[in-house]
Amino acid sequence: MQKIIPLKTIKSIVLFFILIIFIYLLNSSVFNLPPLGKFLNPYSGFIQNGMVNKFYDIDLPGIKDEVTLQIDSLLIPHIYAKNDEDLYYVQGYMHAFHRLWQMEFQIMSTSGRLSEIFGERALSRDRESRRKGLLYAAKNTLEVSKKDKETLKFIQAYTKGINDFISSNDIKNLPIEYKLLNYKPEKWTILKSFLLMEQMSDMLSRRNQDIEDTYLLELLGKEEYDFLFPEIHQAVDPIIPRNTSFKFSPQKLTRKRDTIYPKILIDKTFKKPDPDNGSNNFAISGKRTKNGYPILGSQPDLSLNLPSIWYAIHLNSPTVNTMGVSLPGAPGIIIGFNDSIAWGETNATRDVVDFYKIKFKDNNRKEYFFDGKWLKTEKIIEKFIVKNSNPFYDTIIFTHHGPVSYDRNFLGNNDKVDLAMRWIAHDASIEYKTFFKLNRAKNINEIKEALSYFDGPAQNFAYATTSGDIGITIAGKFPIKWEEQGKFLLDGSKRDHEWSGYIPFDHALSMLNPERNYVSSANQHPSDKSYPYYTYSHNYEYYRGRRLNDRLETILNATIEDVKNIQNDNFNYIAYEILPILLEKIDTINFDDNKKLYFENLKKWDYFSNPKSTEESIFETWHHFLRKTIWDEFDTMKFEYRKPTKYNTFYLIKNYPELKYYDIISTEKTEDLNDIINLSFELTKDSIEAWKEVNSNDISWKNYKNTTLRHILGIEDFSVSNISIGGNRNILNAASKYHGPSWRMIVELDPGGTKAWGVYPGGQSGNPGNINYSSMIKDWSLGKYNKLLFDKFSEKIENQMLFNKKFKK
Amino acid sequence: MNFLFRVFIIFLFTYFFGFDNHWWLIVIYPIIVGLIFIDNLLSHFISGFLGIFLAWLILLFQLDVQTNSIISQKVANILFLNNSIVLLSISSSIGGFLGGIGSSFGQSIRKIFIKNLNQDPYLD
Repeated sequence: MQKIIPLKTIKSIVLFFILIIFIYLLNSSVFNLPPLGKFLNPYSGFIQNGMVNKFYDIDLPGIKDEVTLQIDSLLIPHIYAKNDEDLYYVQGYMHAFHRLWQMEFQIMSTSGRLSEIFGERALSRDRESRRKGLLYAAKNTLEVSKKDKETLKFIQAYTKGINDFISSNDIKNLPIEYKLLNYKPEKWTILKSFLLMEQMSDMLSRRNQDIEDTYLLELLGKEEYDFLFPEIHQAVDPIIPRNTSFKFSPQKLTRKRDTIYPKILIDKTFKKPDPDNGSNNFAISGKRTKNGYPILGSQPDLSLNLPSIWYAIHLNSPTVNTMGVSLPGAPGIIIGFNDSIAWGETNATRDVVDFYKIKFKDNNRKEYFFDGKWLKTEKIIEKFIVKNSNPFYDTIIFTHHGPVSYDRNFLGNNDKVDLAMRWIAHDASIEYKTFFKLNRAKNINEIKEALSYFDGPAQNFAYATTSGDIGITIAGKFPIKWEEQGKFLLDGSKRDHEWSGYIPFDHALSMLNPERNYVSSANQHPSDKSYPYYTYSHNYEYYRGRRLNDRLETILNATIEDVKNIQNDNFNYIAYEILPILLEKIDTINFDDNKKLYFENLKKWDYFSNPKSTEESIFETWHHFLRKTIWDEFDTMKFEYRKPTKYNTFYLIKNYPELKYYDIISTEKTEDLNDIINLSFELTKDSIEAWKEVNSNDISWKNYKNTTLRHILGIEDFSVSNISIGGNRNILNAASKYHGPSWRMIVELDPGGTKAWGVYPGGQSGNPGNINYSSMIKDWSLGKYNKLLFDKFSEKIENQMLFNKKFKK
Repeated sequence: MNFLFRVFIIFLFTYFFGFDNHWWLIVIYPIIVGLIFIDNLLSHFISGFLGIFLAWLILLFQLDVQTNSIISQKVANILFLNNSIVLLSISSSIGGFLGGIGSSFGQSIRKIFIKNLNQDPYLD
């Protein structure tokens, strides 16, 4: 007879299994929830992230000599090291201390590894990242940087600082995002710091419309295309003033007469970086300031996120004493000042991305045609680890142009299209060297030398020195192009379609101590056509630069307060230029009460987009409907396209009272300009009334716009919304809904000691459980600044510190 | 007395000796208590539950007060809970449940090795 297992034993076994399964479930993510036990327990769960400022946890095990670390009330670290390696080691440590999750997540995103965290839903984005060649570019850079011993040494020390923090840190102190998503930080590597620069390039220099414009050119014909999308307008006030004479002899290229662009139609193109990434910076000479010292203002406008993109820090060693903002993941200061100079960047928009049509020999894609020969391709198989699923493999073909981004496997319209991407960011370059040198620069010559190493993403560097110099240089590696080269798709089999050289640094657009006693930039055209090289971007800004120069032109005895007012200027240049013309054409006969009210308000408006302005809300809505109504023809296009710029739209309205585009194609009637101005005004009223019903009766601009700092993962409770701030895109105070001034800095170059003020939307701590996480937002929105504590000697400022400790080896 | 004593022992250990890296190791406290004290399984479940539940509840509330409820309020919203009190109670119940099963399991092992059973109908 079979032996019966006693009931008691069965009970025990059952309980045992229940216990094991229960523990297992509590440690795994089910239904996209965090693992409940791991996340909710009091020892290492979320509640530990409420424990703020654990300064007592800071130990710096890897330092070689004594280091003094101070942390001020804004949580800005002040590092006083006896050598540079210790300095960057502690910077890495502090970046990780406050921003570890953000640093690593950005890199996961750039290297196309988000599927490892989110599973299949991130796969398409990851494939796009790798097909853009970001990892390929970072690896190129890594190889070259190995030859530059000093730069490498600093980045290595920085990397070690991050890793020492990671390995000395308990699970309970992990940033809450790791706990929510149930994963752990990996080791930091030098490659990751290079990937961060690639990410900046991706954000700032990848925008292009080659595919869209090829389609538009084909559809509209050259004349109409140029009419709708002109490269420059008469009103533009370029960074380097008009009619500047250039004394060098340039290397000129001319377009071949028989140049034919490939004609290709694509349903869907890569996701583009935000067109609003922009900024302003300027330096005012001592001749125009009250105290007689130069003043520098720098305000980079980027996506408004939490944790903030910037991290303020003060770095001091025998070779350097510098302060400003850094990027978590990158050593050194990116925008800042030292005892002798101050500098700030804005994005130097220029077309540095081109697509080449590739002709493969056959389906194996082992060879492609170029300049009369068949060249070999290189095949790279990319492996994607996908959470809760099998790994995915994507084959990417590389040509000498670059990766074949669009092909039969990805957005290539089923094997009809093969496009290789040539992007300046693919080239090896060591931007860190620029910043290490710039952080230590003492005068104009040293600034210039530092900038000569900067390849991209190209930036307009404005700078000022305590010896009274001011200047601006557009630094970056730019291909020499023939007229319109790369504006449209290029033929990958022709040598003359390739980039054949780069503009030498000596020929870069640059200006030192100009007669007007100020320099400035705000993403506008770099120069007029007097610059002997072809420069082009579809995305130059037409308004902020002019407003900035208008303000600088009228300033005589500038004070810090004046500069604050410029950075927070809410003047709406678009409205100033177009609104009177629009209002004139409004037919007031059949007005209802609402329309009348809107009309009267707009008539009285001073064009300032202040937080309480209702006129700005009405104008922005009207502007939106007006463009939509005019360019309705474009919405019927079958492939990806773009619409004419705001500036050109209003230029046409002002100068061409009769255009076929004023007709609304979906109606029988043939509308004219008056009709669509009135119609869009009607639509504006309806839209705002509808908005009121859903939201509130208060259409003040801050409510209507709802400026929001979004957490990087989009978690609403880690985000901050409805911030009371004016401004908008195309306004100096460029705070739109999700975009805006990501750092406001003002530096006075007093030879007796550089003085600086700064504020950014967010806080030093990346921990949503820390009150510091969002602590600067209010000051930022009100245009208030913090005086930055800056001294060569740690003793001088130690009584203003929250934390002050000497670390011994 | 036996029951209250068990709750107290589990409470003390869970409160003072948690594990940062493997939080669930606290289950050994109710298991050991289950192995030592003889009672029925249900009673052990309840004492195990209460021991950990109370320890966690107090730990969580202490930390929550120290941190001004900033993080708990945000997490409560993320998990679609009304307020942080509900969140902390649910968290403690999860710990409690673990304690309950642990303690019953300990007792069930003990029972395999006990020859003479009491008359209590719940005991076998």
